[in-house]
Amino acid sequence: MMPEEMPLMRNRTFVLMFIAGIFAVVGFSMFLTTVSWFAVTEMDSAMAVGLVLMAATIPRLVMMVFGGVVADKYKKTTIMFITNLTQGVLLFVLYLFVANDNLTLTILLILAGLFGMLDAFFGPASTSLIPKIVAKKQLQRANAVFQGADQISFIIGPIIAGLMMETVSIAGSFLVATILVLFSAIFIFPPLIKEAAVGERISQSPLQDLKDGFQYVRSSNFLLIGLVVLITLNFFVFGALHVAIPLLVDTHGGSPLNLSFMEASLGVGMLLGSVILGAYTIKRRRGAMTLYGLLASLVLFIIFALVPSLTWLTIFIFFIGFSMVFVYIPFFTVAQENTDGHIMSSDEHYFSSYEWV
Amino acid sequence: MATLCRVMSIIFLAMNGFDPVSYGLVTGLVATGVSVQLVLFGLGVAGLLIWFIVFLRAKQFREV
Repeated sequence: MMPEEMPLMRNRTFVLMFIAGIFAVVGFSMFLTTVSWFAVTEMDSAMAVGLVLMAATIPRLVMMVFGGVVADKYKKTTIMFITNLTQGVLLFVLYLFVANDNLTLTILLILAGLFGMLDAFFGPASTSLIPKIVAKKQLQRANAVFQGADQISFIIGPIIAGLMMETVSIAGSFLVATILVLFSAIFIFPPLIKEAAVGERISQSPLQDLKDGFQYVRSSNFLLIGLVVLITLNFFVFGALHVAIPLLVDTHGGSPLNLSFMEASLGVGMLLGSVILGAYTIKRRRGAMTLYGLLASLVLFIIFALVPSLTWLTIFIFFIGFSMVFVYIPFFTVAQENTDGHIMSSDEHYFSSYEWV
Repeated sequence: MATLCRVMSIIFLAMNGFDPVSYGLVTGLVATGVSVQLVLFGLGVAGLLIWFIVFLRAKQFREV
């Protein structure tokens, strides 16, 4: 069943999913900002921040490998609805613990782990639903609209979280995140969205998929070097930044607003980079662009480590975000162009380039 | 064949798989009393060294 072509914004299912996606991502990014501020100020330890972030990401990664299998077996809207509803409940429990002042590190780690695990299902389900609800010609536009909204939501989320923590309380910020995630569940409520029944499919195990993918990567010099570049960027710069932002704000005696400004500044830098690369396609020497992007990110990161004030940190993190995009996007573009199976069937779940940025 | 899909999953895992390691390393060092700034500076310099090695060995890669 191929949906007939109509403007995306008049496609009721698309609009519902779009709104649900915005609420879910704003809620998720609010959760991340609030939880890292809570760990650094209330638990008063750097290790707590690291542990909470690890609890939120490790189970998520493991589930991501297997999330695709679930996305194939059940209706996407059902998966998204249940995911959101459960996340909303978890956030509400977190709110209650914080409001009553009896949250321990163990409980926080369990809640963060469960929350991250559920998040692994939402993304793949929503990306594989898009090709089902828009016409083929509109796919690229639909993806771009979704990714743009995603990036903007990752800017808005930390700002709302910062404002809530500054003017109300940490608990208040968790409560707003709860409400947003529950809103998202309402918009994606399955009876509202007509989704075709799931067809029978033969698919191989996710581990076999990974093995096949690895074989292919090993045979390509470009992919191997690109992988080293991406790992270097994520390990030394991006990952370190995530955990360092709350620690630095705390070291400088900053407020939750400083935290949200820094996170938003990183997001705005990345958004600007994506917009520029969306408008001007680079056609030559993209490998070189990737390498110079990494060099710029590293040099800016070293300066970032040395600057003495929150204002300068906020300015430099913008440029780091901007440079990072020049590593990711050219690399993904070449990887997509040069890998066979470039055109994928409409119900194949695929990862689009910006999604992991 | 959905080779692209599988390759993208590998790239995705390789990238995101190192985030938690990075979180652990940074907070672990800070917990032992090293300042955040020094940890970040050290990471940046180490990354720069790796960049230099990759850059020298990636002549073909640059032209793609």
